[in-house]
Amino acid sequence: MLIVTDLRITYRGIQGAVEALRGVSFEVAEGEFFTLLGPSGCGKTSTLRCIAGLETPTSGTIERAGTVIFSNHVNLPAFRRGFGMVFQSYAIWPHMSVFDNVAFPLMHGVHNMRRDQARERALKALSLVQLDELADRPAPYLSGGQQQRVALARALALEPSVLLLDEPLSNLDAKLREEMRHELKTLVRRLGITTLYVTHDQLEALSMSDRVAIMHAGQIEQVGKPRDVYQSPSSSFAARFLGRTNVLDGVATRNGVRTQWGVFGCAVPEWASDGAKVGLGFRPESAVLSASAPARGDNVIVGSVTGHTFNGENVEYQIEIGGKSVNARGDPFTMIADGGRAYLTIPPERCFVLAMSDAHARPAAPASEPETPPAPISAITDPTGRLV
Amino acid sequence: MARPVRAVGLLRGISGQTLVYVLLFVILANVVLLPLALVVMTSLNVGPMATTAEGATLRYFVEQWNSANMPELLANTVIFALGSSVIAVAIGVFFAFLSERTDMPFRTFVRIVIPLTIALPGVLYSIAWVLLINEKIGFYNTIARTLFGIAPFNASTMASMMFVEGLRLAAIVYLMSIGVFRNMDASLEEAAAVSGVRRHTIALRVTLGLLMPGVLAAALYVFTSALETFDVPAILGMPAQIYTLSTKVYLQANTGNYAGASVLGVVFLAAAVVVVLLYARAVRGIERFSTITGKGYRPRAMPLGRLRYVALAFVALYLFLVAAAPIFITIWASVLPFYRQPSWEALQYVTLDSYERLFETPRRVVTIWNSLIVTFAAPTLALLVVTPISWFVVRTRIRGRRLLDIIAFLPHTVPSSVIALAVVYLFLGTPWGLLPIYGSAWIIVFALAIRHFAYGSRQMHSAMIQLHKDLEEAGYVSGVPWRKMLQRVILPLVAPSVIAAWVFMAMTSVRDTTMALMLGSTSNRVLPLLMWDAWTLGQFNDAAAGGVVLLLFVIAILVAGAILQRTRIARPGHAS
Repeated sequence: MLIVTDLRITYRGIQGAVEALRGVSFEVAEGEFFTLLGPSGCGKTSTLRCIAGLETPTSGTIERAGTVIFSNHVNLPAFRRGFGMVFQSYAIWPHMSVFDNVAFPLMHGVHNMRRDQARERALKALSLVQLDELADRPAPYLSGGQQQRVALARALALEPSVLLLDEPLSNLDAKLREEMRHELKTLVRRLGITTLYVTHDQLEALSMSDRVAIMHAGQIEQVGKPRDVYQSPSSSFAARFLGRTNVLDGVATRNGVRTQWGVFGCAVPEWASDGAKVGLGFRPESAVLSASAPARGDNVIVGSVTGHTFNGENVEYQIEIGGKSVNARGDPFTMIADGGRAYLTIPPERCFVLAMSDAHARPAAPASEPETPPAPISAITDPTGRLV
Repeated sequence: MARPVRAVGLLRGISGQTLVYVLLFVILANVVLLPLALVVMTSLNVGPMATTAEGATLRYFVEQWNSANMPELLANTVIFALGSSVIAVAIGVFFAFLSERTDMPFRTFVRIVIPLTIALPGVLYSIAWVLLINEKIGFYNTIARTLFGIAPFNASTMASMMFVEGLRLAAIVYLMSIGVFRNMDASLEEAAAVSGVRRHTIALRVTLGLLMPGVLAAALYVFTSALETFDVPAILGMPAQIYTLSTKVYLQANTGNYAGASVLGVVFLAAAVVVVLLYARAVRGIERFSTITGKGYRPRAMPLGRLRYVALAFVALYLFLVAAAPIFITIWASVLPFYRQPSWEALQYVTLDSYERLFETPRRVVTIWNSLIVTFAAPTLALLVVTPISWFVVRTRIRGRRLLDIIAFLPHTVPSSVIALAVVYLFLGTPWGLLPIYGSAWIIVFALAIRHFAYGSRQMHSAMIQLHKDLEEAGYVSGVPWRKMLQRVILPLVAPSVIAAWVFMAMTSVRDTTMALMLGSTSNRVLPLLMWDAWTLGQFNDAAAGGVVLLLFVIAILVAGAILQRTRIARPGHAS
């Protein structure tokens, strides 16, 4: 159980104050796999590092299992927080063997285990990631994927209250990443360990998490189950960051959105009052595509195909619908030729309503990049604060 | 409201870190800024070392301008430095080309041996060259006389000084250029070839263009070295009244003319700063180029055909001139009771007397002991100051960390003789004098440590940058306290760099002549001073024996360093 409340970080640099975190709050339940998802610079890694104790927030509180580990009055040092963490770079100590990498924190950390105890625990952790065979190998003689497993074993061996994972898969090649995604998910599920995962990869977030928090510019935009955040994004940023979205301008009515392409039935959220300008959003794969007019005429747009990309498992069409181009996905067996007529049926439950004010705003560029560590020697690019 | 530090290294609170920072700053200001300020002040006749009570005056500048014959002195210094760098660059780059881009035989051997010659102590090398090319007793002259009836060489000319210094600096240029050749991406040349550019145009426009910044940096680096070098100008030049700034500063200080020495020091400092700024620009040029180089692979070696052996002969001749012959003549001189040219007849006089004398009187034994102190203490002291500075600069975000870095790097621009002068003032003119080290080997240690700050901090910077921050943080997060991390992870991982830096500093400390002469007296004599004294008294055998012992010191340091590195690599770390 992890509770983060109103976490803020302000870096005072030469160019003035930069708010890297602007009031981040969330809870991770016992045994839950919780993911912070967002583009680089959104503050997800800063949040994780604050929780780990590697960075000090300007304000906010962090509680772990009912104990406050950070607040105005408390700041438990990193090595006393009892978390396990896997770094993006793996951070495998190159002068130690695989076994020593796992056993070192057990013996010399707060656990202070005896050698035989530590040995048992380390080998158990290594066998979880199927590396017990390589225990005596010097750590640098491992492949990237194996180093990744050592880093995971090191974190798991501590039997941490929360496992913190900072983009652990981003340095692996595509094939390996897919395997590890599955393996990691299965492993932490099986161990029932509470996990906080940070990534910019929506596929990882959606496929592994119990819940996802979408972060943007130092704030959480939306929290929910993967299916919910994907299928009904609550903000334009969430809609655009997770997958692709078509947005049609319109006006809210009691049970739908009126657009120049007709009235579309869909669930209208409470904030959208009757007559308010809104955007009607739908995913390329939400539309049912056909070359001939569908039997039922509700929620249908007619357009002509202006281009397509054949992807093997599907076909991506660009469709001109009277002054606007939208994307839609079709199956690869019934192709519609370029210039051909296309009917898009968008079932009401697959539409979502976005506030107009931001419906067309591009995902804003982050104010700063506090996540990337500043170049070590350069004082000028250093966005960090001074010492008072 | 007081908040804890935005800690990176996770030191406990703000107070500890700030305290260490302030302490380092105070130390640096005291040992770098204050002494240099004293030199400038003394040149203007103010401060504790002012010559007269009349107050600030430019009188001593005018005086030096006339009496020291400043235009000629400056011209000599620059001509000497320029001449030796040109020779050094010509030889060094040529050999780098031979060993990196051609199929010359024994390339691996050459790559190891040429840089090794840098270890040869400058005093020994200079004395040896006098024994080889002195007008009357020079061995090369004797050979030429028997063969051709002429004696073409004369040690005490500007040309000889430039040649002797240039030959020695060539090894440094070589070392710096092989890196440039090696890092050059062959695909850049191949891209030109594929786009239809002719071969000699490629060599001229692409290859040379890519090499230029690196070579220029090496040239400026050896130019700075030659500008401030002492051994060759002192031993070859001074007998013929050919002075450079460094020998003149020594002479003035040695005769107690502190105002004069300071004036020259200030002029010297100004000249050195200009060259160092140029060097910094050139180095930036290399970095810009090196970012372009991608995943390059080694270019094909150019086949030399028969010329392979001619090339090798060149290298062999170089090694003979720069190392084999000087070492031979030094050993020869050290085993004869009075100097004679090498010959079979002279062999009957061979004796180890001069070595015995080295260990005979307590005063001479002290020399060995002092040299040991200097060898061990100077690099250690430098690293003790520089390591926390590097940690601050690389690992913390504390405000003002750049300032520490800049002050630590400052001694790089200051010629050795000026640092020595500054240290003299520090101990004669400020409360530092209460520290009872003036007149002991520790004053030499002190000055050498300051001299090493710049080199040491560069080395430690790169060591710490290579040590990824995550490696430290991974420990903290998994429950390991900072102290344990330092002991078990950080230190073991930076150890190879620390050892390498220590070995280099130890080697350059023990053989340093400038500090030995300017800060030494009979009570704190070190080997280079012993050699100098014997040499000026005409006791060639004692000077040479000192040189051989000094060489053994250097070899011992290098071997110890190599063994230390090897055992470290062979033994993987254990968590237990």
